[in-house]
Amino acid sequence: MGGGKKGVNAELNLVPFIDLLSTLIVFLLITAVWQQISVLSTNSASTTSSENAAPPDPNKIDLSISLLLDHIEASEGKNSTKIPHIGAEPDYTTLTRLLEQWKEKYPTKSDVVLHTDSQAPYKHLIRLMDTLVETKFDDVGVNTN
Amino acid sequence: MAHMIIKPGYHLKPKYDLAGLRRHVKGDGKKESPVADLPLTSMIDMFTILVVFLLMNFSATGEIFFIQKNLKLPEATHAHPLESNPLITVTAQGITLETQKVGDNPITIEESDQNLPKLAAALKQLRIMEETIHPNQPFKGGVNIQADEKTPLVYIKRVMQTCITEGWGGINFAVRAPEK
Repeated sequence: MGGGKKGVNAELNLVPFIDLLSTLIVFLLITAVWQQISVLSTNSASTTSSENAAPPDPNKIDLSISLLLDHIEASEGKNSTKIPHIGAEPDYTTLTRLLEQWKEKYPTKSDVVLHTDSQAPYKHLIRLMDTLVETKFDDVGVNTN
Repeated sequence: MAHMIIKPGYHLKPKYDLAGLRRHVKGDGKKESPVADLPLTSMIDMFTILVVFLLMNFSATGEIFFIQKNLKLPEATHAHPLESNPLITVTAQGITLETQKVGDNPITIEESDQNLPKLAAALKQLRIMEETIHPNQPFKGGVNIQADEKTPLVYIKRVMQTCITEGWGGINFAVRAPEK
């Protein structure tokens, strides 16, 4: 019958818990990715070269952006808007505003063709594509000529 | 006379004598256990925080991407996850497809000079290989391009031109997420 009262506090065995945590930490440290790499895709249908360019459709409004060394030229069919660079960097704020206007005007349209100057830095192309994706123009084609 | 000589205590003045401390240092007659208790709470706290932090950074995509050390990728906020595709690297030293050098990047380049015959041949071979491995699947033609953010676009465009000519139209540009 005993008679002696047992203590109500049970001691938790922490050894397997610490083992598990240590193993998990080592595994996660080995497989850790410190730099997150992702991709921006071009639309293969509108990424064009001189040899396989599609014939223009007269009823379709073509939206295109030209990245030049000192300004950006945004063309909506035959109308074009010139956005000068601020310093050496393109003016993305004005461009975003214009792209939002385009989106309001053509809500179903998501394809834009990018024309770029050959000496423009690669980061400007990426930033331009990023701005287009941000304003819901997901199908970005790049003219390689 | 003998009663006049008093043996000095631990301190000159008895009020500064830490008798209790001396007793404790000496052991006070009782034996303490040689096994000290390790305080585990703080260690488990630290482990848990570390595990949570590492789990948040964990990437389960399984894609391995080799970035050259002298190459700084441009930043983009609206990019999507990396897919497993052949990797073309454009640097000042040249163009490499996976680990194979397939072209040079001269300092001055003419816009008409779009030919990269080695890259074209390597892509053609890769396409044949891919179509042989997956005969019943349509050829996707996805390719990843990585280049330094300051690279003039002429170097990128001629790589793109070659890719498109060889049927690799799904061009993806590798970017990094902006630093928080």
